[in-house]
Amino acid sequence: MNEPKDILLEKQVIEERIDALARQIDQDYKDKNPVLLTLLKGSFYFAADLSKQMQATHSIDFLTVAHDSTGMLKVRYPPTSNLKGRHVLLIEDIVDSGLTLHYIVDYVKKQGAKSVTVCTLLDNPVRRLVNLPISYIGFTIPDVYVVGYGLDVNEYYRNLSDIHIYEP
Amino acid sequence: MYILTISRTLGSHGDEIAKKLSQLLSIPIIDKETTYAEWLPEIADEHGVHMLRSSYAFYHHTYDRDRTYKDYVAEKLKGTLTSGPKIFLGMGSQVIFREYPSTVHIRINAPFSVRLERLQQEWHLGTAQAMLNLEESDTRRKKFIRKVHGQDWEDEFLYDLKINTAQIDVDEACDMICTLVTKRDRLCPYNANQISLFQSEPSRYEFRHEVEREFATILDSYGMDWAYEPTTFPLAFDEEGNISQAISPDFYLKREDTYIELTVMNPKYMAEKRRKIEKLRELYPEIRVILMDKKGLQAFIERHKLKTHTEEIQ
Repeated sequence: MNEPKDILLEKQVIEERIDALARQIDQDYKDKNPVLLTLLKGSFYFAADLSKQMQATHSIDFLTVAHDSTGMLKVRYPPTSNLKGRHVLLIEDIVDSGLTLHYIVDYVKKQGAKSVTVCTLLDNPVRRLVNLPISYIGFTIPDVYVVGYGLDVNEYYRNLSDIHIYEP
Repeated sequence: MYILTISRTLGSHGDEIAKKLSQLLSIPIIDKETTYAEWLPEIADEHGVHMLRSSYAFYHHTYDRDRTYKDYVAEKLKGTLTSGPKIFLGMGSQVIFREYPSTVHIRINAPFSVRLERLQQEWHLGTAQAMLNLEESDTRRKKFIRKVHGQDWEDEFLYDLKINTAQIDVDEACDMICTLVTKRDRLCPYNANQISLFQSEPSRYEFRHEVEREFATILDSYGMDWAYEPTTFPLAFDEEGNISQAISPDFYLKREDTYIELTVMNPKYMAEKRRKIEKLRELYPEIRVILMDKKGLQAFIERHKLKTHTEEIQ
């Protein structure tokens, strides 16, 4: 496995941007008691930091999707809370093709959520296949593979504080 | 041996019928592109070919003593029969082979309004453009038969079978033609079962490249509703209103209303493809089309493999 390359986004820059996102979400979700539905595992650092910065009352839940033995994407661990009638803020680490996000948004809508909005730390629009609206974007990045701050390669490097470029 | 000549109007599905007959009967099609691209350049320079395309009176000019271009094309058409039967599409073949034995002359047509609607739907043209294409095409084809062969294109006695495709689809038309051909010439290898066999072939899943199959598998894994090359977008038309340049994007994501064109070409060969995509966007601004180049496609597939590998080891 290769070593991570140059830093793309430093820890401090990430923190500042998350703070700004939290302010924006606070305004939009005042009195709506949203649930921050966090896609595991890549988004858990981001969701934790965002949640700590938010003033608006909210709950947190988690969701894991994975490809099963037939290759189909499935919800492996569904959220424990009932999403029916809730304002759901989907927390993503990165959106590139949009295929995973498309699947999850569909899933959440089927659970009867009152609204579904997407918040992603990183957006790589170059390879976008599915054009879903993303309400909150931390950083728009070039078409590179990245690791750190929750993002991994074969489960490694999630713990890095900065986000690095990685060449598989 | 038998010969089929097919005269058709634009939007009548005549080309589709000829193509399907060619597959069903295993007979090659000879159309005007063979004439302009292969035969006429043997005796005419670029300007001469251009003149023949644009001014049909030029067919009566001589290229060698008393031999005219019209004679040359007729000889070439007849010469193709030495290698077996042929389907002749247009080119005045209903006149050239009028007295030939074992020949069936077909005319495919449909009312103007039906053809107009087809052009609008199938080629995604506006009413004015579709109407213009139809009128130009009808005029030029009629003019060609009159100027080159001195006949009336619409003379019903030039044809053995006339099919109005307003209510008859491509399969039914092929069935009728094959039945006639079978009765006319016992040498015809037509088998009624062939049509149903042909229809059941999932041609849309016959990918041209392995990478397209791989891409389709990934789309499936995300539950995407897609189609393979479902639409052809005309990009340019020739002087008769026929499509001279078109593009059929590889994939269509139905719910997202998005077309995806994949390419495995090296960057230096990408210019033409990019030009076509730009033209597509320019002519059809309402559609969303994505061009995935070789690098992007490889990255997409690699990232998918990395993701699924990670999930498997969890």
